[in-house]
Amino acid sequence: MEKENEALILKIIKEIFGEYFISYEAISPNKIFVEIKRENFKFNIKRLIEKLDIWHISTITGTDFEDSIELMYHLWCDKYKTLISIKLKLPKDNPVIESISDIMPGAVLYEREVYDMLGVQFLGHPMLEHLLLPEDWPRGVYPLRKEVPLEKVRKIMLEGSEKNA
Amino acid sequence: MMGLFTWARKSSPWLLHFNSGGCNGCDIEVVAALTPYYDAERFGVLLKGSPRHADVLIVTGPITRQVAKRLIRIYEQMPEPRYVVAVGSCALSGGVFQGSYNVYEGVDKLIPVDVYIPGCPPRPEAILHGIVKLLEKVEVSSRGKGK
Amino acid sequence: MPEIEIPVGPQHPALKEPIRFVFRIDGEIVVGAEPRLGYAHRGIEKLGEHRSYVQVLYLSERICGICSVAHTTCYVETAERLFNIEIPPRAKFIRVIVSELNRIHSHLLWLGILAHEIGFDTLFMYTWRDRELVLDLLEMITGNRVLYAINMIGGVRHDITNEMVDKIRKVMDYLEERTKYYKRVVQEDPLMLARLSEVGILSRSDAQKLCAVGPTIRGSGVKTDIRKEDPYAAYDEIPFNIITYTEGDALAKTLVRVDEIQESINIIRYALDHMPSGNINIRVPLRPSPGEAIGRVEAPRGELFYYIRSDGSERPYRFKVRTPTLANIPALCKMLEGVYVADIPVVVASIDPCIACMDRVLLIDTNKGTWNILTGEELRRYSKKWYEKHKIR
Repeated sequence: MEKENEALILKIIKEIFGEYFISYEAISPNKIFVEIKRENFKFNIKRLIEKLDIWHISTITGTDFEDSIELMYHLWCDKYKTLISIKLKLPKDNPVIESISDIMPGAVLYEREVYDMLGVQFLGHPMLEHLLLPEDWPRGVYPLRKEVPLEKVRKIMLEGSEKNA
Repeated sequence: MMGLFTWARKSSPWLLHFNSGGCNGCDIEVVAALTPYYDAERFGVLLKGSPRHADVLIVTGPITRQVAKRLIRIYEQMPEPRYVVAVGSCALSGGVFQGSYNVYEGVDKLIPVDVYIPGCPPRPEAILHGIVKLLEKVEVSSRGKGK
Repeated sequence: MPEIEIPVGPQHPALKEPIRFVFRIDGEIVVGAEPRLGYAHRGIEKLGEHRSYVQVLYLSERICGICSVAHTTCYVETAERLFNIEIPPRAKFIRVIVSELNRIHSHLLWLGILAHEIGFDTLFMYTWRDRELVLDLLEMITGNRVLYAINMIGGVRHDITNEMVDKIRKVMDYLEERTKYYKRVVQEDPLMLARLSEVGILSRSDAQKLCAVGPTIRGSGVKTDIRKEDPYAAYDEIPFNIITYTEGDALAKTLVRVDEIQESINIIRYALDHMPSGNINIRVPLRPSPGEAIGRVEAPRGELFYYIRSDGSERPYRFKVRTPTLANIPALCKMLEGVYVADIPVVVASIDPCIACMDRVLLIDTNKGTWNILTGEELRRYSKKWYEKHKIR
């Protein structure tokens, strides 16, 4: 049953993403990773969500890979009981992508978190500002970027707080 | 010990409980310490909401940047004599969050602490023990002031 | 134009203070709500990249002291996939038993806090007293009351002996009676009904659109539970019911949690009856091969999500955690629209937030142009007085 579902989902994904489909990996029978090209993202993901009756997004994970920032949209497909993680890479010097918060309002805070921690711009997001970091956090310092060493950020914060106290 | 109970019941130290961004583990044990099961009220201590009426500030959590100013302000609003109890590893030293970019490592980095209660989290008995130690300290110092 | 509008906060002088919630009100009605998260932001994901896999396990347990074992279970489930190992069957059953004991403690704790919010302090005392029995069991099995440290990558660290089994059964029998009593209180007590019934309604479609999780979404009629749809530990071998209620109000969410206590009791009994023998853990290598893994667990508050990426070294390359409370915030903001200010404490409590989120709130009257900062205690007192005047007795 799971193997059949897996094959069916893969077929649908390839149909929807077409030339934007890069690769696919199943880390377990009901958890798959699909890598796609960043172009036409919103149009494609909207079709996937509609085709598979997806209403739940678990979260959006952003990871810094030196020259790119990888985004993963973790979508739960209840129809086939499968977690589909859609991966794409954004260029590090211009990490911009369309927000999906109008088609999936439940994603609104996850996009904000990725913005806060990694500096990705989500175009069309209704309120792209700090979610977790304090308001007086220095601009352009994204804690989860690899070039931001822990000790250095900690030092900035302690010095900054003394000035404001 | 009876003298201590009498003093505590006469003076009724009022506790203000402040969570500075912790996991709530210590908070639920502080609250448990104050339920009839553990019966802190026999020591005459009462949980109060406002800093202006509190004698004792109980702090849990690793003190995130966002709450640091509020913690200092609460302390400043408390009338003297005022006392601070740091509960749990995070309040003592930052606990497992030491080194993080958003926490201070211990309450005493910001305000003076009178009693440290270690544990992750400390049991309600340990918390009560710490409060009793505080009352002893307070009683000794207030004897001199004729309170 | 977004279909569900998340209100934009004003640049307000009072926001220099660490405010946890901003409510825009019109007289006595809430027109918009904006939570200000971040006061419990401890930089855990960054720390996770600087710790070994074992150290991250201890870090994960301290993300939330109430859900504690849900976090470590999710972490080891993810890590075990990464390390590509299969743990012994007995360990899976022990994980289930400790997880369900944790669920019972968490739901009883929550019921007590809810009771305290509405001024029903006797119920708070009863639930927290009964909860102590659960904590005694957890301490008996794991050595700890709050942060159990029961899980390890490769299994569990402590076994459940036959003597322990007898004690667990006795407490389950007692709690079953107590749960029936709590259900009656919730369904019949006039104070509970006045404060919970038809308050903070979340429709089924909003609950799904806003991707709510746990009892919050199950109280709106959506039958979803990670233990059934994406099973972990031994949940695929244990029969149980997913509890849903359809009304979507605070009462429905309360009844979901009360009934879940009974389900947890049933699950624990079944697990004890069918516990396989054998080892409780296996050895694992120091580091996993490069790769990535995901773990999902049904914490007492809802879906808990972990992602770990390994580059083959001793430390995770990426450690991602999404807690259930964060998932429920958009739904909470929706639920708060149109409620009375006096209902705010109950509506917020109904999602079982894992944060001290009502410490300090800002109320902005959009009609009068005035604002007011209240502590959680002051808001609670206002709510009690309002209900005494308007609705009950």
